[in-house]
Amino acid sequence: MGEERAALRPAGGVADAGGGGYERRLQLARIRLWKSGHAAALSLGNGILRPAFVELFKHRDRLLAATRLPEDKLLEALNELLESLQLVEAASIPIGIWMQARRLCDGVDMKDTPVRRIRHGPSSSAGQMRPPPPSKAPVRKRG
Amino acid sequence: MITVESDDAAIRVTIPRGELDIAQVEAILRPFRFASLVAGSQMSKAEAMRIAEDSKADWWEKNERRFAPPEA
Repeated sequence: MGEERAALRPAGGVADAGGGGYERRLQLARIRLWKSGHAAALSLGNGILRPAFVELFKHRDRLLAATRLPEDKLLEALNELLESLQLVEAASIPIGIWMQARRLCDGVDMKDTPVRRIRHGPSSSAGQMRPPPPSKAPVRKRG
Repeated sequence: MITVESDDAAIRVTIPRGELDIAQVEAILRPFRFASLVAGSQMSKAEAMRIAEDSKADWWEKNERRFAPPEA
């Protein structure tokens, strides 16, 4: 756990997106969630949120153009991918798991850490890279 | 005992019946099938990352309110 936390911590509090460190932190976050033993966390270990797949389908023309694969081959690959994934209902993931994911991915791309909004408030802008806040604001839960 | 033989044309993996059930074999083969299907892809890693970023941005734009605190 100590090693995981050290690897997940952004160097100097600065976000490191796109490099090996970013990938490693995401991977370690998945491992940590897996080890937590929660069913939803287990799903996140090898799962994908359902809406993410819908978004992927929206970009099918771009995928076809970029890969230059025949459509039937790309669809077959998509089917293989679907068979390999466990689709997860976002609503079934408890707030505590979101918070844990946010903490583990602190300092990385905001779009990968949706619960950042809970802590930073509605003025945060989507997709913006930012270091962790200087002070610890109280956690606000929905409802 | 699982054995692997290869020649210029193919790689043959032999799995004795009883060591793995067919569902396990299917699960093991799935990533190979996927890799085989997309082997001819000409998409660059940069383009793949752009599409992934766009997908995430679209999703986030529509869903961020679900994770925001309720309006005061």
